Amino acid sequence: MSETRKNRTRLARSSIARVFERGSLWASDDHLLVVSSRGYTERYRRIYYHDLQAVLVTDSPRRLVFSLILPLPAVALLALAFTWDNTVWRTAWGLAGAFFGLLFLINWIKGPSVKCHAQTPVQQVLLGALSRKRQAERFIAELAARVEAAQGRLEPAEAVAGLATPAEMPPPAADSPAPGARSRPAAVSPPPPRLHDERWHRYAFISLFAAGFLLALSFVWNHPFLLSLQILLVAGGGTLAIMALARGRDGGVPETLSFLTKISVGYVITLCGVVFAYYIALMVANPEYADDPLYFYRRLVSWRPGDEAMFTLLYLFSSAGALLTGGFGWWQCASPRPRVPPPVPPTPVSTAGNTGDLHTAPDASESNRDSGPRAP
Amino acid sequence: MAAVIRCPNCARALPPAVAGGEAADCACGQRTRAVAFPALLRPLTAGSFGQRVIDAGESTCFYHPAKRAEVVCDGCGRFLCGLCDIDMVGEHLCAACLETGNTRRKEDLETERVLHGQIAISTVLVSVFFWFIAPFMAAASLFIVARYWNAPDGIGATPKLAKILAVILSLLVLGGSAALFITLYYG
Repeated sequence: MSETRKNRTRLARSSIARVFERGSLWASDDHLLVVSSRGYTERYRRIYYHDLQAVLVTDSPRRLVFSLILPLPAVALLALAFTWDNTVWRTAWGLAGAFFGLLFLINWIKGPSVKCHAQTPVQQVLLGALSRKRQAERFIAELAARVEAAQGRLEPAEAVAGLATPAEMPPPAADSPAPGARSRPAAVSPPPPRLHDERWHRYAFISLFAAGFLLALSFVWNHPFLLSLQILLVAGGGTLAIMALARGRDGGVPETLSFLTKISVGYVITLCGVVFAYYIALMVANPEYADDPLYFYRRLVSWRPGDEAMFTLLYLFSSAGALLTGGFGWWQCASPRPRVPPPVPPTPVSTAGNTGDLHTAPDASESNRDSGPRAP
Repeated sequence: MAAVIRCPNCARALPPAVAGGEAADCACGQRTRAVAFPALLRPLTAGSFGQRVIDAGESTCFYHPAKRAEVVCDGCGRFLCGLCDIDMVGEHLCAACLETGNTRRKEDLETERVLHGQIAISTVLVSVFFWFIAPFMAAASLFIVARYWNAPDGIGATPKLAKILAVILSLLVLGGSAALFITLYYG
């Protein structure tokens, strides 16, 4: 693509906080250019104004979740700054705490978080550059003027009258439009709704919640068995959360649940990083124990959360993070919403009505071979 | 298919009121608002499979000799039937020209671009963590910049800025490595 920046205007771009997937939206003469980048490549998708059916704005829990998470390190680090004796470290902890506090403020000031999609006749394209409501509203106002210049204006009442109600929609396999509705040629059958099995999410959140509970229990009772259980639950919860993310990558998982699962993975990775950093520091300070594989474990067991201010804060931060994330996620999993129906037990196949139709007989080859009645 | 606005999360049809600007709660728990445009109610035009040749003297499609030519490709000039014609907002292209336009970075056909400047910067920054191979990483970064100097940068990026930054960092790393080497062995 040659650089024609003269007739291309940037309408929006993602904030600097979006480290892993950045994006921008550019308005051209006849299309909207959706640019998404993962660091080393940029991908371009063009949505022509005359194809654009709607811009959808969905609420996102990003702001709420970060509002719950960011105060934790901010408070922990500021508390550490007040309890530390060394002035240099006190300043360092204070600055780190203030940094998280600043992030919390920025997150709050930027307003409600949203996710935006552009709908065309064949797909819905995620507009990743838009993450806040105010930004999305500004973008839609600018885009609407260009789209209306290409398509004309659609009054809300006309749009409502022209849309089919969910009850009028044909079943996913049907090829014909619903009778009575304003119909279109039956070129594409409607996609089935994406339902997702949330078992893995639930297991991950329960593990994290249990880990948080056991971490909190360390304040009153410390035992090698308890530590082993904590390690197992945190590692297991992280693994389950990664599995849940992998299984839900096709969509269908509610936004809040998906976001909490990502937060859980981030929490477990951070916790592992902190423990690993402590392990390295311990090994550097005591190189004579480098050959003893159980030395670190014994040190961990010998810890008491109340021994030092840093340990207290670490335990507080870990248990509060696990309890909050796990509990909130578990509660989200328990909320009523449609899910994948449980597997239906196989029904008995009768050969009496077997017409040889491959679509009606669950195992046609076998039923053709076996002429006798079949047990359930 | 009837006109419908679908939930971006689960693809269920949302109630029609959503097109009027009202927020709609989907069964999956997502709350969605929509701004609708006239294309939502416009019927889709059916695609064409191309028409069979009836008269022997008729022009035929380059890719389907048994089908009648309907348009000429604006990219290569080949005759195309209704099936091979790809309408790009008034411009008619064949599939081959679409692919060629992407690989040759033709205006409005490119779908992906490699950001060589970012790769060069990352290569030299990684050497901070692997100091013993830092000169080689810096050299590799310089090679990437030289090899892809004329390759276009990302849309909206300041032209060549990332590459110039990579060159500066690489030269700093190379100079630092040379100074370290001289200090260790001759200092």
